[in-house]
Amino acid sequence: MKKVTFLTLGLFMGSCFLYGQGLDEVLQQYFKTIGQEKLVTIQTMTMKGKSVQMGMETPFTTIIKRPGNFRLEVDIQGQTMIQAFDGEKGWMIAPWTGTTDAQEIPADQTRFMKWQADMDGFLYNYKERGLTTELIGKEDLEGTQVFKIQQTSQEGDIFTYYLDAENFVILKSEIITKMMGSEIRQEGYNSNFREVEGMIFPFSIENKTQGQIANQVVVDTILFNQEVNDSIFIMPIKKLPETHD
Amino acid sequence: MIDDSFKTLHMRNKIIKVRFFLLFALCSLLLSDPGRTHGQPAVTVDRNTFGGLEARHIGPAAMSGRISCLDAVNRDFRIIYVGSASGGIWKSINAGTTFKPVFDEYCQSIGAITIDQQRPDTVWAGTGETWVRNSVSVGDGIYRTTDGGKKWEKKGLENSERIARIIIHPANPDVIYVAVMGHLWNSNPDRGVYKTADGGTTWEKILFVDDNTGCSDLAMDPDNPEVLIAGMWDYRRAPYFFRSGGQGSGLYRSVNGGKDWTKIEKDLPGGTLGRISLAFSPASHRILWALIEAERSGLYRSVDKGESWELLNDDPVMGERPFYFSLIIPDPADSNRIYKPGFGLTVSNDGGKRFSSPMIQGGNVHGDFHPMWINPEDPNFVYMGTDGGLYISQDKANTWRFVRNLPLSQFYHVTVDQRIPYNIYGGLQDNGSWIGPSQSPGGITNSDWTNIGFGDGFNVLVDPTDDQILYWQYQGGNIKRFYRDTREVKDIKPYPSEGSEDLRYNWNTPLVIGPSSHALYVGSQYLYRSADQGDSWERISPDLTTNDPDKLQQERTGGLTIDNSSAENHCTIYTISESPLDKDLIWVGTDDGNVQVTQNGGTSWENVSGNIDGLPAGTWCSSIVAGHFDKNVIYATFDGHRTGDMHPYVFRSTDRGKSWQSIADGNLTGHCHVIREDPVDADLLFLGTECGLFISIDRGVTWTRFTGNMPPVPVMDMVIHPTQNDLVIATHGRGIIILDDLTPIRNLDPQVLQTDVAFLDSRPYVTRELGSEQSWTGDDEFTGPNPPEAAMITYYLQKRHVFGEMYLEVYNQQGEKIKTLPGTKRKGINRVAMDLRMPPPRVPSSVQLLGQAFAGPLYPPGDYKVVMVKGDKTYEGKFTILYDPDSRHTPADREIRQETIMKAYQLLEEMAFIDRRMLSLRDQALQKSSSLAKNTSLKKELTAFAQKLDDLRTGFLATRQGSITGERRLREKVSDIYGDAMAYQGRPTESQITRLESLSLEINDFDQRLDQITGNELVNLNKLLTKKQLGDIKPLTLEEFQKEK
Repeated sequence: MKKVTFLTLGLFMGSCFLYGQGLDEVLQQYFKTIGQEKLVTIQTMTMKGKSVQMGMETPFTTIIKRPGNFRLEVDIQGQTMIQAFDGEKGWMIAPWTGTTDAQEIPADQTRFMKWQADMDGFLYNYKERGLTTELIGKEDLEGTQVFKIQQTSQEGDIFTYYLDAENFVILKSEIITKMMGSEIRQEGYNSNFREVEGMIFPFSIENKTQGQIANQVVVDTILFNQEVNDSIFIMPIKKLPETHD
Repeated sequence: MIDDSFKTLHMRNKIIKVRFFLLFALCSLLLSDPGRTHGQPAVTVDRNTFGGLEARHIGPAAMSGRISCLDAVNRDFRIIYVGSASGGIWKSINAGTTFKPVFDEYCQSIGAITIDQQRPDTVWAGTGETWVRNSVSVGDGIYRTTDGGKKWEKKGLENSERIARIIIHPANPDVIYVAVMGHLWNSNPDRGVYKTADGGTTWEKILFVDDNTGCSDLAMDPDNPEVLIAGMWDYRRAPYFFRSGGQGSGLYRSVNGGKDWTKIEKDLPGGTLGRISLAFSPASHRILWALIEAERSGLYRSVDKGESWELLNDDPVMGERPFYFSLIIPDPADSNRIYKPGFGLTVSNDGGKRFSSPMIQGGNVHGDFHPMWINPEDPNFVYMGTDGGLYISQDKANTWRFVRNLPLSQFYHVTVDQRIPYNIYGGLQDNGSWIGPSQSPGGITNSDWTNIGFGDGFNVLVDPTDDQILYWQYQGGNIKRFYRDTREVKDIKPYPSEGSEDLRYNWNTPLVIGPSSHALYVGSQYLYRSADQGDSWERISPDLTTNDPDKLQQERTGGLTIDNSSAENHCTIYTISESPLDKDLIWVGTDDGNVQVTQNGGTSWENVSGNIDGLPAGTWCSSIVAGHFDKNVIYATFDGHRTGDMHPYVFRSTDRGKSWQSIADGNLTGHCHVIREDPVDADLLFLGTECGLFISIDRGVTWTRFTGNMPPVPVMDMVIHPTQNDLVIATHGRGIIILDDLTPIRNLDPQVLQTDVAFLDSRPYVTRELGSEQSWTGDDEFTGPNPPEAAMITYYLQKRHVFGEMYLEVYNQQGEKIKTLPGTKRKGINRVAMDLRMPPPRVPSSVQLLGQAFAGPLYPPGDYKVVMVKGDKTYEGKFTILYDPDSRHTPADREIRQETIMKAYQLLEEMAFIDRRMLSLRDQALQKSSSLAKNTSLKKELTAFAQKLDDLRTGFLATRQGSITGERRLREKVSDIYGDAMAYQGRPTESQITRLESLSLEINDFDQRLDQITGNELVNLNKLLTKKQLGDIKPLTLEEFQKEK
């Protein structure tokens, strides 16, 4: 209760707010809100939903398994595209590219899967991750007061979070990174936060690339600790037989 | 208030939050005004109210606009920062192939840009252009970025108005010297040379002459940063004159970093001096040039760091309009080569003695040259800024390539026509008059714009009876009638009648068509009206100005360098408005502060400017607008910036000018150019100021700057399209900007603001095909976006939606739910594009994608209901889809089209079902086969059964891998017809229709072949499977297939 009081007063006395000391306070409140304590105990997370782009809906499934495995399946015209990451190597199968064999994904793009495979989020244990993290301050995000937190990786990637100053969930996250030497900016606007097994997740995410709307992700279900075989993350060596659900 | 959906949160969090909110409430109470504790404070408009409404920038970049300054990275010429006269800062990282604006949140007028060449991500920008023409904008201080332009921080000098040069100390990046020119239109002490030693936290004025004299240029000795040379300039503009030069002008030198200064007069011209430009030679540091405006302007050279001087050249080109072209640019490698921008670009190869044009093989470039950057590592490579944008030369300024992606166009006025899609017309500073479309296939490119007039362009009008006839003008009241088809031009400017004095036309002469009379009006000091397209003119007023002889100085304007271009013509009519409700009620505003009205078509006039309390006498009337709803209502804006008064003056009278009320509030910034009353909603007003677009939804009680993709650029004119309801904005620096569809803003009244959620009507969506174009012109051309090809669902949220469900359901006229949309959740107005297409058909699964089948058919026209589900509440809205009423297609043709598309759609779905059945049977057979031992007869039969299905499929759809297999099977053939019919809005061809019939028969035939396989053969197989207790192979049912959807 003491901590909450301190924080609350801090919110109303912006000019007195000591940002240098405030980061961990803000993060603790954030972790408490989203149920980080529970999240770190989760072994696998399976998310199903749809991506809406230019009016077209594409069903997807993502599977994350500790430590650092990621798989995305997307259905397009009855075919399944797979992108996966086994902690080291990223690969994909896109049947309409001329082959049903798995193809390795360049490291530049694999990073995105590596980041998504991190179930805990970069704010958790940021010091151990080697991310320079600072609370930039409190500002207005489209009419909502937010805490702006910025992280810089050793490679120069910049992750920025806009944390709702009232509800302590991330309303917007932004990644500025380089791909093939060119800077790209990706933003995600989160909403429809819901509780699942004591944790809070956004069920609607609007993604923008270079400032333009790329797609909207609508999450239908999130399941935890499903049985997931490690093999689904490993790049198949031979041609895969066609699979149908 | 605790959000309802908050209840869904985990109890632990809930407890914390409730406590949190209790504390919130307590603190709020303690901090609040006791007078406002009754109930909730009313929600008012702020910049977030307009939420997701974003303006559309359509450029053009065809003629671009004035570049005032630029800098590039010496070690990497590809990185450029371009400062524009009034369109902000643009950065390129690829030598100009692409640009992006990096200064859109700040003042758009840029005077100086300096990159810290040792830390190229650090850039200093001084605002306030220093090429001080009559239309120049204003700055508000100095800024710095340390991350290559992502984020800028204001670093003071707020009252400097214009900054001419920024020099970074080579050994200490926190030491910065700044040449502050100061106010153009009035005296002020914030001018001279400034220095900071702490990166801009504090500033010291280290050289000051007087309140009228600023620093026009500053140079630092490349060998000794303690040696500084400053050119001080005594100058002033007023509404009716410009003065360059005065007793404050002079050349100053410091040898101790600006602590002490010595005025240099030896060897320099005697008498009054004007503007001075300075440059050390990067190739030979002992050489310093000074371009000095004087009775006889000239180029001077010093070879002892400014102590003594030698006149090199006093040809007239050295004295070309110093207020606009005072710049000398040495070559970085050749100390004898110096460039002199002016009306043309000249260069000397003998150290400054003789100048001539460097453009031997080229020269097709816009005149009026300003900044240059020459690559120190390759002096062949030059960036050059002009009144018409940026150019690049790779052969020492001989030939040039135009940069086609800087939409910095400076419009003065804008109009639209009634075509669909409508066209936009306007004139620009030094770039003539142009026409461009509001939308175009693939977006609006430079080539979509057509030039129709030259000089400085202003109003372009479309004749109300014949849109082949246009009127355009150039500066000083030169008016033309233009025939679109032949491009013939007729001069129609009124001349003075016999015995009358000369006519005084403003630089920006008002030219309007009366909304009631359809007559053409033009104003000099008199008001003229023409009912025959300008062939004859009737003078319908006496001199409506003050006709003050003290303000008629245009022949003497310029100061040391006479410059009578009509830019200072004064005591002229500047704005005219005929009442839309009464052709005889005509309002006129003059540049010397008069507001005149006639109620009898010009027989008699009344000057009502004396009735405007709170307006300083003589303040330039910048716009006057007669009300649409009540002829007693009149709006007027006044602009005092040419006397240094930047205050926003906005007034309304509701009694025909007898009394006036100020409707400016504290939210307004910048002097005012134009006001527009919405023709549908009398409460809705739009105001253009030097600092952007402001909107009032309560008739001017409160104003809010519109920030949705709208930088604080000068807004000079606006027009509201009468049928499309778009606000079309003429900016002076960022081209034409369109705020599409004002309908939702019209529905946003103060009551709506108090509601949690409200749907706001949008205009009906009319389905039109813009068509497409094959155009691969590279990445270096600006393309303005089209409006979205989607119906817009618009709603207002008082607060951002964070927790719990929120989505939109769309229902057709039959009450069937046809779509669920995630929607957007931000505070204020949300505008969601409703894609008008049904879900695409399911198709047989193949390694080859079917491009045509990615899109579904369009939903039919009609009214659609939208239901927002938000937590446990629902809200209802609607939108409408219409066919284009002007389309060539009859309803009967459209019906046949729709039938054909839907038939093809159904066939694709049927084929998907057939395919799923085949795959399901095959996979079941293979799965059962895998559990059997090798060489059993059942296994063989199962394998054969699966193979038969696979063989059958190869005739049904393309199955070969590879990018160009050329396989056309039934699936692909049906898809072709589907795509053909979708691509055209009218009746499909007979060939397409009959082709679909025959394909339909083939599908039936195929279905029967599958039935044969799944008939007796499957029954027999299942009997054998039953014996082995392996279970039946079950054909997929239609119900199961539909369920998958």
